[in-house]
Amino acid sequence: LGESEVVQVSAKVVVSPEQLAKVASDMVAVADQVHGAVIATDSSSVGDSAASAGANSGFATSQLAEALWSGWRSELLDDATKVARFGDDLGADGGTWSRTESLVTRSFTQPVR
Amino acid sequence: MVTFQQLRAADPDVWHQQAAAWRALATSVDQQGSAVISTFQPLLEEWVGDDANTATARASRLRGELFAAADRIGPVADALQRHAETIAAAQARLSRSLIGAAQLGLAVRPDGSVAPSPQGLFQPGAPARARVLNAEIATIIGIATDSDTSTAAALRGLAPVIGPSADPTPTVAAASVPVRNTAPTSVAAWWNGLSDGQRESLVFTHPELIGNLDGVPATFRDRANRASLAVARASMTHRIAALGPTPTPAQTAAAAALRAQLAGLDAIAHRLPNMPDRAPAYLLGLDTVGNGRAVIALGNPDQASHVLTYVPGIDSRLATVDEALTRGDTLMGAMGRTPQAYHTSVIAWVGYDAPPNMDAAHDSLYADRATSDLTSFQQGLHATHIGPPATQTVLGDDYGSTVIGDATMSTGLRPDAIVFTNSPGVIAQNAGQLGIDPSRVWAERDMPDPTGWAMYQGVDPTSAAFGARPLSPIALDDTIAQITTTITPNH
Repeated sequence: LGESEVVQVSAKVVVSPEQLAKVASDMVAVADQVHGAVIATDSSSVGDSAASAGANSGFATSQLAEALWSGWRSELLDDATKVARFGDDLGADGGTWSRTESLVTRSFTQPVR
Repeated sequence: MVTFQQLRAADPDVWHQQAAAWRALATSVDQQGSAVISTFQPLLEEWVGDDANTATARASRLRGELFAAADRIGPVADALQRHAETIAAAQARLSRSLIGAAQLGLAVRPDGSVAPSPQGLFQPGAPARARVLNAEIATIIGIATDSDTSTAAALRGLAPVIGPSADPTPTVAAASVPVRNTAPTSVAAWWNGLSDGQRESLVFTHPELIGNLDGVPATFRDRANRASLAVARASMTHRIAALGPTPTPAQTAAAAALRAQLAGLDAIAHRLPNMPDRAPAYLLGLDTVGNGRAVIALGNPDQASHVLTYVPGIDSRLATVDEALTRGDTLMGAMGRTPQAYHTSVIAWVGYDAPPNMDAAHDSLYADRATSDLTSFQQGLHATHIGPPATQTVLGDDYGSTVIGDATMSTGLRPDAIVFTNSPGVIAQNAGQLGIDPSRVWAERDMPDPTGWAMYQGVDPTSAAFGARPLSPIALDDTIAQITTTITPNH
């Protein structure tokens, strides 16, 4: 390796795998919070189709509100998934990183033959 | 158009409640948008380069999407709130008109029109009053209709803008989830065939179905079981409270058992949050039925290069899971002193009904019932592992060693290494019968054995005839960590 390439490798391993793993885990927890909000809304009168189909069923507002929740539910689920995937990717990077770091460390610590 | 009958029957409280739910949702989504950045921020203190820039852009985009969602969801609450108030006011005004009609002897027809009643037909001024009330009711219905029309239009304008990555089929039917005891490789294939949205949906809609399912990745099992843990703790607390202040003797015994299990659940909950200098915990299994079971990994086994599964012995159960967790952390500490520190995972596998005492440990039934679950769990670890296969070491302490011995003989458990400590015996006659290279089998006893404990269940694995490699009780966990991190895959 040339000198400049060695410097670049050094910069890439400056984040600790543990730190990445923690952020990854916390990021997935954020996704879980978004999911939790969706589930809570499902359990509310917004997600209760019986409520919409009851006394207020003749109102266009009720029909629109029900359709609106269906759309937002899907959208927020998608957003939560993206956040979870981001966390998963960071975690996977952390795993790869730690293996790479170990290899780099080992290459530095093993005697040159 | 809103009709007279619809207005009378409407329940504005439903829209009030919906407005409150939408508002709460907007607040939560907005907070999580901020959380994306605050969670990611610590990385930027040390992380530089192209990858950091890419990740930062991704975090910013996710925050932007959540903020944009919150910005559109909030007005939904406002629109519904205004509509609820308008309809409630219209109903109140309509009610006053109907009372007035009754007082004037006017009849209100089902369509809302007002006419003099037969009794009041010839009263002076009745037709004129009826015309006034007809106009008033028409105005009220007009107000309700306008509100309904404008609110519906507002809601239509607040629909999400569905992006190309939106998943149109995020839900998965419970019946399509593989049942327990399905081969972990089949479970993994099913799981890999799901979309991201379907997987995420399962975590929340059916955590009880995937939390204990071998072949589902550790991170998803963990999240599902954390949800189940919260439910279990709440349920157990409720059941204890429901026994009342003056329980019968039977209820007192039941309450004691519940409290013991709750203590186990609390111990798990205490260990799950990330802690400085301790490996992150993953709850891979949870069951409160009977003695209860729990499986906790310290370090992600799907990403580790070396995985040690610790199977405890007599009296291990949900109520005493803290002991298995403590041993797991001790073993993980030993792993941390090896060169492979960052590539290891220790799993406390309290995944079977263990004998409650030494007398019961004469019975091989406890081991017989545990074998298929232990083997399935290990196969599941193989199926979900990322990258080159991890080496798998199983450590059986006490009766746990009997379980491992049985599993190798009866259900094809094939780890890369086996360690027996304080064993009451294994059914194999020698290490060569365990299905792996005998040089990969170690055995240790750290105390005298005057009771013949070592042969409760068959052959003493520390005996010379058995042929396992001896282990010194001195610095035992460090030695086990060395074995775990230096063993090569068993082909």
